[in-house]
Amino acid sequence: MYLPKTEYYELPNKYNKTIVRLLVQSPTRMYVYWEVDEDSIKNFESKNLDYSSARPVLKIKNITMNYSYDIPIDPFTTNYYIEVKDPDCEYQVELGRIQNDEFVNLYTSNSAKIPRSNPVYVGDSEEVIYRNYIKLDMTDKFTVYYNKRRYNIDGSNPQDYTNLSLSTDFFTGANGQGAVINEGSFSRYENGISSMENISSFNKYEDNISSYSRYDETK
Amino acid sequence: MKEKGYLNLVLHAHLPYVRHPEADTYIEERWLFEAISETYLPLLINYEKLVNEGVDFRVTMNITAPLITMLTDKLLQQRYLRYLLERIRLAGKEIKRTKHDKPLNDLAKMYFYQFKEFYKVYKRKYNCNLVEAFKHFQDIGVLEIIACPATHGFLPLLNVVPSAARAQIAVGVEMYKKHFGRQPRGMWLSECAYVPEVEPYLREFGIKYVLLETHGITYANPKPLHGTVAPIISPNGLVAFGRDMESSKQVWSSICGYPGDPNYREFYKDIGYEADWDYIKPYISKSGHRVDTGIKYHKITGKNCNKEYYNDSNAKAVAEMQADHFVASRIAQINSVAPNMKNPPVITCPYDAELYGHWWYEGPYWLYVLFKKIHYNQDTFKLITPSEYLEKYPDIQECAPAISTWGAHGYNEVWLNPGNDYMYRHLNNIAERMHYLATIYQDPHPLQKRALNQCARELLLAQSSDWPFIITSNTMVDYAHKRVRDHVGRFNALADMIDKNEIDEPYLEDIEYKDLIFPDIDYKIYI
Repeated sequence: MYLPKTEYYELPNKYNKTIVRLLVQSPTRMYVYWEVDEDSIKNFESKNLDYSSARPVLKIKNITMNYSYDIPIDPFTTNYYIEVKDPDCEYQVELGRIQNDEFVNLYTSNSAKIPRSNPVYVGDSEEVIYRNYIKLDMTDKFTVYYNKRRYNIDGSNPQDYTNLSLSTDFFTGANGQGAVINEGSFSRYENGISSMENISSFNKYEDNISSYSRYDETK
Repeated sequence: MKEKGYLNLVLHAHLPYVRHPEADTYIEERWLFEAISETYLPLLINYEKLVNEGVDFRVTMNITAPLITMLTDKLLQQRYLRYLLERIRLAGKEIKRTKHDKPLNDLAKMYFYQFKEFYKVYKRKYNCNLVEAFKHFQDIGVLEIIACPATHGFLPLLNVVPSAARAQIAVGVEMYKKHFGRQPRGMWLSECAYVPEVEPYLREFGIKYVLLETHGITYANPKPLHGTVAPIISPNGLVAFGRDMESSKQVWSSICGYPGDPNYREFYKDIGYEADWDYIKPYISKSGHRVDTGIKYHKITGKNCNKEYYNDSNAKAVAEMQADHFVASRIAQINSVAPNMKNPPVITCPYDAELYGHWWYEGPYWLYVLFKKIHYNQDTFKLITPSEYLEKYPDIQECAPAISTWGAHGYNEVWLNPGNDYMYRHLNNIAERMHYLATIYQDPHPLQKRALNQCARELLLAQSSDWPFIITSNTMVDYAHKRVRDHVGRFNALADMIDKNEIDEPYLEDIEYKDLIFPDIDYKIYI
């Protein structure tokens, strides 16, 4: 009978290759990890700079809105969580060191899109396009005009509200609770209030798969 | 009278690849046996009943490649039969033990006959192959099975190395075609994790639609006219159906959802934990840990009180009532949105398959009565699969879906946080190395080819989203860390051997035997 052998592995401490990688965690946070190899250090010093005394920084670049800022980091760190100021933007991170007030780049990361955490709001009207899902040709196109009203989550207190688009909105997760119902010249949710009554008992919709996790073996 | 709307019920059946031939039993293999006994067999038995009764129904199911592999693996099939025989024996002992306590005795008998029926159905009717069983229901048109990334990899975080995300999709589709004999039309993105970068790979491998979490639709651009009651199509032609929050909540919610009814079976009172040590010892883990046996005698009853005995017929009555409630809610929902829609609304309800049966014991029965009520008691809506809906109503509003997942808080936190972030530099490193190996070894000799293919397997197994998930859920944490170390370690060991052209054949054989997944994989998928 074949008896498989036992094994044990340790993950490598380093890969001896300079890299910076940007990963998205949420609309408000991203994660960067990096490594710097000997060649990059030599390259840095060949520019008449002192690697160990230069201040290490991460340069966070918001490509969509065209701004950047520096975050000082500890020389022995190899990863970092960055608070995102503007969601729904493309970001990129440069690892570098500052000497003589000048930023010297060591490596530039991949770019990554931070997701948005709210619906897309449009103006008073929206162009609606329909496509055939096989041929992908456009089969219908029209414009929807809106009257906008906002209701409290219990259906009370309707107010006029501009710049919102059609259909029932609810804000999920950390962004708070609220619901907006709109009446438009195309679609109306007159009975939307009654479905709101179902929603009002939802409160903050944070129920998630882990409450029924197959791995939840805690007692 | 033509129906006004549709219900698209989707069950996601996934387990991480857990198969340990190196030990006689392994505690984590129980996940599979419990899922078969509590979810897959009850679902199949109910599908069969419905078909025999002439009830028309539709369900969409995702059966992931690791699960397909385990369900068709001879060793695990044998171990499952052994598991069932142990349950039958234990239930038999329970009948004797409880003979003076009628309610308990009735329950023990219930379990005894249930396990015996499962044995008969599993061994004789389905010949131990549940994948064939599900395929049968797809072939007769009541089930639509969709594909999934190969090892349920979390694509947004793997896509830093594009060939890695592409290969997850390619191998997942390949596996599907092999077992179901046709091209999958839809895909279940692992954890409903969508980023636009995966669309080219989905298109390349013939996937027409995916399922997303609610905000993947409601945060789409432009904002969809009809929320989640209609699918959307991205500018590149990918159709997305979004989870309907209202119906999900009725089933899912741990506060007000159906599974929390006091008459339902209490998950956390199992004789594995309650019974006398000497009595139960042969039926729990060999290492002595008490584990679930599947024999549970109590009902939820309430919070913080003495749990009362379970009563099967009361529980079934509650399930019927809740099924009526669900049908009525859907009718009201469809009636309120349908009048102003171009196409009839479709309410998409995706769930973990394991909710039905494993976490919610009465779940499969609830589905069975629900399908009957939908068929017989009303004509406002029908069950439908996404493919059928698209065939009937192919004109879809164009909106770019939003980056989203169905994980806690709606994005990537569950899979990327201080407890598990360490693994990504390793996963990305081996993914890059695989791409490099695939590119330079155009014409390997047979032993090298085997090693290269095994590297691909190790990479895929390391990428399973289950490992970071388990770490976050704080359950079998050490096991998850070990799996990552083992697969990364095996990959690097084999890759080093390939580079030096000194392949240790016994070592390779050992690894091939342990990680016996994707037998036909071609490492060139990583070019």
